[in-house]
Amino acid sequence: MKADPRRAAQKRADRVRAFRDELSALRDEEASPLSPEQEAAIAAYHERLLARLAVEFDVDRSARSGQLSRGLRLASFFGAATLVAAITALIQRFWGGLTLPAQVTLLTMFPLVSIAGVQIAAERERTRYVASLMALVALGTAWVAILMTARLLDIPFSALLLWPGAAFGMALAMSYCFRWVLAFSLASLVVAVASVFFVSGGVPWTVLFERLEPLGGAALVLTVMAKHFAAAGEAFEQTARLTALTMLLGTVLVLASVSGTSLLAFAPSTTLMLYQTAMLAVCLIVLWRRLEAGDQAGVNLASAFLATFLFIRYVDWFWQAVPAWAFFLILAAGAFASIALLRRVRARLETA
Amino acid sequence: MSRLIVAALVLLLGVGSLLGAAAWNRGGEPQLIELTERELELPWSWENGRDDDDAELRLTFRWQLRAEPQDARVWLSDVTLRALGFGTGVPAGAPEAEQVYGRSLPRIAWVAFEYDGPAWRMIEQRRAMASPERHGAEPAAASRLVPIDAGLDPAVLRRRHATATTVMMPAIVHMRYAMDPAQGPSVWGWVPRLVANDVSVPYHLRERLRGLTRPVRAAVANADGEAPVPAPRYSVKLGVGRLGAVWIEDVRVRD
Repeated sequence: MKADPRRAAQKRADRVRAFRDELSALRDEEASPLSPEQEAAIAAYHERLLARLAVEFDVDRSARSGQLSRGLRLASFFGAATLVAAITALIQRFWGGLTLPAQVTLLTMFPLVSIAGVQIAAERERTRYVASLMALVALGTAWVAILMTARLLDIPFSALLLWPGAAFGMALAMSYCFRWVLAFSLASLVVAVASVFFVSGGVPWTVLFERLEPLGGAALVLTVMAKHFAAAGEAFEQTARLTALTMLLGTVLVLASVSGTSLLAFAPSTTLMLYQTAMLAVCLIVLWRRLEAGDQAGVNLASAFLATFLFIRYVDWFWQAVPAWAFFLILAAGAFASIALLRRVRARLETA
Repeated sequence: MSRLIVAALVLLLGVGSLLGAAAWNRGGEPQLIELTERELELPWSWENGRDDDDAELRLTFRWQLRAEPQDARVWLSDVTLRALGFGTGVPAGAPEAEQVYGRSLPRIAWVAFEYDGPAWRMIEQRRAMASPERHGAEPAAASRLVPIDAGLDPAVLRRRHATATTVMMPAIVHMRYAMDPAQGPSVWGWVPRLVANDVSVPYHLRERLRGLTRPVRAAVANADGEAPVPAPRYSVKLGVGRLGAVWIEDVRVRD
């Protein structure tokens, strides 16, 4: 597995910070086994290490700078989304006044200029906040270019248009490890693959959002294939897995909750019951596998879907049947029961 | 930079493929037909006084839906529906019919549309007989584009309907099930959507439609309930290519 050097550097910096905090606490409690000279030597080494990591990877050296980094990432995402919206609105406002060649040229130029922006930003800043913003803008404008060109040429919006958009996004994501770009591109790839099922049967591809099994099947294939993304980087494997799991669990959740979204020819109530059983099983399997793999993000995702599913089931079964006070009382009792259960599991883990 | 060249090439290849597909679509022997304002309608947003005159202009298709069960079966028989891939084995009166046909998936098919031909005149006559008092208000504004046949092979349809006033376009065919207390249960097919529901007006033709706004339908009928007959204000020469993608060849404003 190819580790992401910046993530590895940040993990090391976090460990140094934790070590310093603990050493300070031990010193206050007069329990530090280190002599002042040893502490000074370690502190000097850590200073040099942090300075080097900061120069090479621009790591966050304190908790506060970590929070600021998360804010920067959020701002990058927001900036990219609004920039693409501005370009799209500009296109729609003045589009009719241009000839077709001018329109197609301009549409193609937007993502190409953004790609150049990615390169320039990646060369100038180590954190790649601006580069990732430019990458998201490149992805958004590429989709606008493909969809608008098809519209201008009166080529109907078909699933075939998803392939070049997904391929562009994958190539862009691979260039400098842009995780959000990869996630969007993989999601569109899953939709494109699922559409083949319907298109090959002469059914409009948009039906895949009404009958969800092919979408779930394509997401399951990506879940199984996610480990192969490790060759492109540790972060890519996790991004691919989280994207696939989000789509898979989301699909099964809708199938288990909304009648008429399945291709199965059973009675709607039978189909719902079938998928409710499947949802429970899939959530538990994913939880177990992610716990085994020590994947905290995967565990959180599966837990969130399981909680949402159980809540929907609970509301569906009991909201009409029991009075409101009893409804919420049972919920509270469930929360206390889960606390007791988790405490017991934790105690068992600690003694093991 | 080399890392990003792949992405740039993929984009150029994608846009190039679209241009190639459009060129291929228009090659060969495209179908050409002249339609009017009744069949290709201006959008509400056109010439509406807002400051968006440079936005693109797209005309929306209108056609006779033929959504009544008896009329639908005239042109979209069980045999045709089966040929399109629909299952028609369950009788309309069977207990499971509602579930089977209600959940039936739509299909993409080539549909032959006849413009201002015998099918339209039959519809016009039937409507006149059904409600003579309302007859005056509708036909003037109603689309005269009528679906008359459907199939999976456009070449076969073109041979079968080789007239200048018939055009084959890809459309989305749905099955419908309804329970009428008087007439009992019915199952039939209909075409609620075309694959391309609208078509863009090229830049050089757009100016010809300046000054025209979409008419308000309610204003068509006069005080006596009898409508004046507003003639279509423009006609459009429409092309349909090998891929089924449509385009506008020419726009002519009528005197």
